[in-house]
Amino acid sequence: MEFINLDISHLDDVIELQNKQDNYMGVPKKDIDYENYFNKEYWELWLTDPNHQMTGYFKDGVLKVMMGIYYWKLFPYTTLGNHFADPTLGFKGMMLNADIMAHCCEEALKRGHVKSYIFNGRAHVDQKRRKRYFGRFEKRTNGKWTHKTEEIIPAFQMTKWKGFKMIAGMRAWPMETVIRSLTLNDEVQ
Amino acid sequence: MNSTSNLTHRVLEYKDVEWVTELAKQQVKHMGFMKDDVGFDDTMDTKEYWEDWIVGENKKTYATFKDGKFACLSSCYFWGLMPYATRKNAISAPGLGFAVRSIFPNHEKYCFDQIFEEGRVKIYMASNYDMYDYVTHPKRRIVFENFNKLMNESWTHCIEEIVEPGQMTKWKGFQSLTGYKTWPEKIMIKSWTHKDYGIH
Repeated sequence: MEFINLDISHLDDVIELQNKQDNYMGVPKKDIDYENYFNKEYWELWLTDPNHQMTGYFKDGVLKVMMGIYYWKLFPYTTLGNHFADPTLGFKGMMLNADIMAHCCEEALKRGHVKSYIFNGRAHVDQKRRKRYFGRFEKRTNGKWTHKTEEIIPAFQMTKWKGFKMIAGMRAWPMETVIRSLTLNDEVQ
Repeated sequence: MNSTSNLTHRVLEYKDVEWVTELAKQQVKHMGFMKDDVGFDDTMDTKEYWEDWIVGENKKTYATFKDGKFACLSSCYFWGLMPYATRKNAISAPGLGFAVRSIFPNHEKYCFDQIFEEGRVKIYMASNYDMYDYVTHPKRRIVFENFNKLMNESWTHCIEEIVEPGQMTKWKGFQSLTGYKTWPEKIMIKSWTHKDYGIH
């Protein structure tokens, strides 16, 4: 499976995949100001700025899965976000997301970034699927990254930690969310 | 008797400031370097410095005693930005000799457990790279084997950055760890992450 780095020439593909979603992290789009958040300027930034990188997987010329890497400036860390899959893929899309996350961690490591943060809704994926998702990621990366639950944020509350505010989108969410990290594990190198 | 029997640990208090300051003054090395070789900041040997690290806000200093006598200590700074901590100021008793190989890992385990109890899931430290080089210095391997044996159950480690001699860290967030200065030898910035059991 080949993941490719997306650039501004992929803007329409990215917007098309994003438009296929009917929810974000399990919350209906209308409840979270979705259209204003993921607007054209947002994607232009992600596709052109050197501290942002979008990666995607195409099948038959159609973008099926994508994920973004934001490179921090203060620490050798990244935030992984914008993980969207074509809804028609169902659970297979989630597994492809695990694959693309493994790819993104490796991309980040090429630039010396040893830790990546991810932010998710907690309830829209059940425990069994979540385990399969991270199990797939671990398999793809040979256990190279240590998974850590950094904070579970109750619905309608902000994160307790200033340093996590950007990761959580600088806002409270109408559902329980979780901040996780994946840290390079030197023991297995 | 085993060198790790009769070990006790405690968090230092204001009454400990005097003797810790005297102990710090007696140290000829800082982070494994001769103090004179690295432009050691003398304010780190003052009562004010240790008072801050022992009873200051967001700071604690932990000590380990063998048969009631001081063996080693290290301090911790609890970050405000994220649920993390920085471990620094590691000092062991003069004349501890080979016992340090088993006592220090026990001390570190105690500190890490205490820091985790404070809700901190990641611990950072900056070290003299050469101290971890047990390829060139095989006798050091035993310290790290003991350390890893104790730590690996709950913590995993990551080399965050190796800072080259005479250079500053590339990352602003690590500048306080390296003392906002350059060093004449390689410095290693490491982190330890507390392991999760299960996916939450």
